Amino acid sequence: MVNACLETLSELVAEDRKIVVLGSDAMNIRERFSPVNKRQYIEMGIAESNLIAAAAGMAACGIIPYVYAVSPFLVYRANEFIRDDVCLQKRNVKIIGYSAGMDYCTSGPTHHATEDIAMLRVLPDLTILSPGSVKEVREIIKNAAYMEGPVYIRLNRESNREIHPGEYQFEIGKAQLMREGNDLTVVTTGSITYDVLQAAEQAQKRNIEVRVLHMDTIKPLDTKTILKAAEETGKIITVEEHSIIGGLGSAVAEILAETNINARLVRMGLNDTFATGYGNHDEIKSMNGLAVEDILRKMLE
Amino acid sequence: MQIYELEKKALDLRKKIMEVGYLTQSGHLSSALSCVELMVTLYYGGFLDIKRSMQTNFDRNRFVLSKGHACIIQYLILNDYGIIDDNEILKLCRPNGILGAHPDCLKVPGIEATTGALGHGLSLAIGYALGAKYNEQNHHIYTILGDGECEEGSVWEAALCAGHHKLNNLTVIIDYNKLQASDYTANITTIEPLKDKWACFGFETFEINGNRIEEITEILQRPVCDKPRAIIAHTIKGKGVSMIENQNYWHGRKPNKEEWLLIKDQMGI
Repeated sequence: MVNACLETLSELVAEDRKIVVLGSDAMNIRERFSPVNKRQYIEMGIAESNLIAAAAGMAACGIIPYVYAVSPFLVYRANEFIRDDVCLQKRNVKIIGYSAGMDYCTSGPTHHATEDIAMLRVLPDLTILSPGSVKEVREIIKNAAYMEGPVYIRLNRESNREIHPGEYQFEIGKAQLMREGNDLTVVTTGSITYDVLQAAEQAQKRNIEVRVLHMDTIKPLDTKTILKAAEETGKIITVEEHSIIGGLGSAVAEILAETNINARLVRMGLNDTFATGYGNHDEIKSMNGLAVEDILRKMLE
Repeated sequence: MQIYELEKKALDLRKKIMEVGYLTQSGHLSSALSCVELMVTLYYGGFLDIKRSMQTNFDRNRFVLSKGHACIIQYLILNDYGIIDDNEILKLCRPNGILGAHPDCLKVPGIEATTGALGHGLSLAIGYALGAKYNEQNHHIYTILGDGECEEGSVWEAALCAGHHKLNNLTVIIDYNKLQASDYTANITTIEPLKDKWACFGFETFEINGNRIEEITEILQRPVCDKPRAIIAHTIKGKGVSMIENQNYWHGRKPNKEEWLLIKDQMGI
């Protein structure tokens, strides 16, 4: 997904001189900018607060800055800068945080972004996008350029598993119905959607039809589609590579709580804990209760 | 404007700060008083083109008041230029007004950046400076920081960045009034040697009396080299109001009636 992001960024800067990418010491993006387009890449070093505020300043010069850096360092360290300089001043900055969730699976919790949605969802005027596959990354990175205002894109690093066999059309604030089903609904986001779809397929073999809603937009959330699913299926499981506090699960809980819909809600994710363990991405998901089997088990309960 | 005219402007604005501060019981008066000459020189000395600052044109000199709590002086200057209405000034920090104790660029015309949280303004100014370079425009960016503000780590992230990118279209002015909210800066966290610090971060540095318009003008008029500039402007917090000068308990205070009568008398208001 990172490669798709970098390719799309290179295409964007070639098409539009207004687009400038600001990076933070990442080899992959530095290599992408050749002598031809290197003016449109500015290296800002390992200094995320300055990176975010400088991008906000550039946005006030008619430039569309894309910030590209590791999610946790951007979201946690530079949170006040995202809040005061980007959101509060409605600056047209596109923030790409790569290594969403537990993508940095051998690096430990300092490198995980498992509270980023929680920490950003509360910020007014910020759009939060969370692509689940390569096709989505391409569309979302491209579309963000021409969405007015601050955008955060939660980018998974390595997963290249495609969830859209056919065409994918991005529409801001509109859930992707990945699978029809009336026994229960899973609401999910990011690259873990692929795992959810696998679990749903296995559930079908046991005669349980799971509806899968993939939220490529987390904010604004497609409440209409979620509530309709709650009404029609009576049970919602949220699955996210994120804390269940403040993330997608919380967002769904919030909207359900304000209705009269009688639906059960189960939130899957990190339960008030940092992710433990080291391994590949699948292994670390498994160690933290987010393997395909864990999701399947919850579907069958 | 001639130096003597700028000095007169500074005196008038000082009186205005105290009057509005007393009438509205709002604003960080001593912080504003220390940078009156710096602000007057920038706004009336030919460094900021106030008419163009109201345009959406991106090619114009820009100013970021990083020590946003001093904004009462900025409001009064913008009011003097007719950009902020007279009736807004007396609604400072009132529910029916647009002016707060920190400037909001979405609400207040003529304000280039919302500040208030310290350690943001320099990075925003760097964004403007990088933007100007990228757009191949020749305008200049000015920002005023407080000395206490230099305790923020982000200031030094920004300083490294400005030095590295050789942003010679950027001038950083430190309003070095030696006091922060609760005590002398030297008692809270030593920032000395301040000039050396900026110099070794890649800035062309100057040290001046920041309450002397002649000195400020002289430095700002010099041609730039290939580095950003940092001006350590030694100032007096509360400058021009004897009861407030160098008194740290005046950081958030406003004069009561008795004090106001004294100030009025002393300043000839």
